[in-house]
Amino acid sequence: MTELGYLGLPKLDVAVARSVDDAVRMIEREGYIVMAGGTYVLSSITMGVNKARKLLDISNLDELRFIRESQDRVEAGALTTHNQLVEKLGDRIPTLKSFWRCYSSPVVSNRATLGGSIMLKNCSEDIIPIMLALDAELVFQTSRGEQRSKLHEFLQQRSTQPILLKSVVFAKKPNCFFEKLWLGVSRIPIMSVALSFVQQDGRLEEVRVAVSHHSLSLPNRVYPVERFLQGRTLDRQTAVKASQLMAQSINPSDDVVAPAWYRREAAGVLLGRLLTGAGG
Amino acid sequence: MEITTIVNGVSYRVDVKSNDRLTDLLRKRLGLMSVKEGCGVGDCGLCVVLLDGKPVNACLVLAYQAAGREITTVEALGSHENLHPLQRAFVDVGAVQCGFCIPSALLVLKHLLDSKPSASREEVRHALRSVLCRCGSYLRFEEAFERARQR
Ligand SMILES: Cc1cc2nc3c(=O)[nH]c(=O)nc-3n(C[C@H](O)[C@H](O)[C@H](O)COP(=O)(O)OP(=O)(O)OC[C@H]3O[C@@H](n4cnc5c(N)ncnc54)[C@H](O)[C@@H]3O)c2cc1C
Repeated sequence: MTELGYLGLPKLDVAVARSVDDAVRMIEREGYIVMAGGTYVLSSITMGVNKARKLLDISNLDELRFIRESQDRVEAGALTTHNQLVEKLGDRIPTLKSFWRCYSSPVVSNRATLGGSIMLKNCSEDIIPIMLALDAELVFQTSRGEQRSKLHEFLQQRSTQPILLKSVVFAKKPNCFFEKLWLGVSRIPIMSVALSFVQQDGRLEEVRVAVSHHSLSLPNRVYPVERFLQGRTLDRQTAVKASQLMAQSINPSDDVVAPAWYRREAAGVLLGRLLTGAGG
Repeated sequence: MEITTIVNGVSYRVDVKSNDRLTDLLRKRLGLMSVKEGCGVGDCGLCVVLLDGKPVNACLVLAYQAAGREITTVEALGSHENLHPLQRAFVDVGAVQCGFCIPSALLVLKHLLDSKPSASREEVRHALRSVLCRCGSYLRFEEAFERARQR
């Protein structure tokens, strides 16, 4: 794919979706692969790791680009960019500012979409642990109508059935925190951790703990740590024990960015920091 | 397919293939040599251009997606006789070493200067994360931003 030092894309069959129904038909019946911001699709095709050649450009579907807020929930269209999420919601969901602070290439955030991140189901997507901590629910459009799925369940499904993500509904939690450890320019973090809870009479309730590398490179919630934290007071001892449990409860990947043992340690340390910070 | 796009204030009608990237169009077809091909996958930021005023990696945008939109490259930032304040500041503080990433650094900082002239040091550094400068001139870029802001 190189010519005189230039990279380039192979021949592509690109169709531009004119409506959501049109997109659903082309995905389900004609085998097109969705391209939203294209920041993963195009880079992975350029690198030769993605063999998709029939792309469906949905970036013109304005019906998928919106943010609607109610008192305690937000519904964001799949085409909402990372930058729009931060700009429009950062003041009310402060953890999105932490997401922004850790973003490895802010220019990319002008194209990268919420839907693209979710559908990648990968540790590279910082927004996934955050959405897990915000109890996100996914809204899909199929030819049989609308389908809903909790994000944590969707991440466990093995099916690679092509489907159009329409929007993501999530809670506006003020007590939600995010921290990431990464190597400068690399878009793959060593580890990222998100935490949310409500405090009742000094005790932690509705605890959510999610990491970028729950099982190898798949993000998800860490239930043993959530159960441990449930009902406890937020003090140093709790933070230390939760950190230790975190390191034992995940099975992260071992790769060129970091070995698995280091990722486990990092997850524990990051959770400890989040808990200590949250406790003031 | 044929598209019409505005590049640096000039309207072009061009025929593009579905697999042409914006980098291919700008550099190879329109001869805008400030748009570099570095990594080709969004990591280095050497192909940054402004698309409707916002910085994007031209290697991650397909050329036909520029239809009806406005693109700015560093060629339109200033002229030899009349440099943009950021370009002037880059010269004044000696921010340019090998020069390869300078067009991208200028565009990223121009966007920041236009959208948030009061940007903090942290915010300037954050914006520059998208540009990989192998000479490590980031401190000079920051200094140049500060000077341009004061002007
Ligand atoms: C250099 C670089 C640095 C980055 N740094 C970070 C970072 O620090 N933090 C971070 O969180 N992200 C980061 N990203 C962005 C992130 O890794 C993904 O590239 C991006 O979120 C994907 O979004 P997209 O809209 O471009 O998706 P696309 O590339 O268009 O699509 C990604 C996948 O999702 C599918 N898809 C997309 N939208 C839909 C939909 N609505 N319905 C069904 N399927 C869909 C596509 O078929 C494809 O499989 C970075 C990316 C790059 C290139």
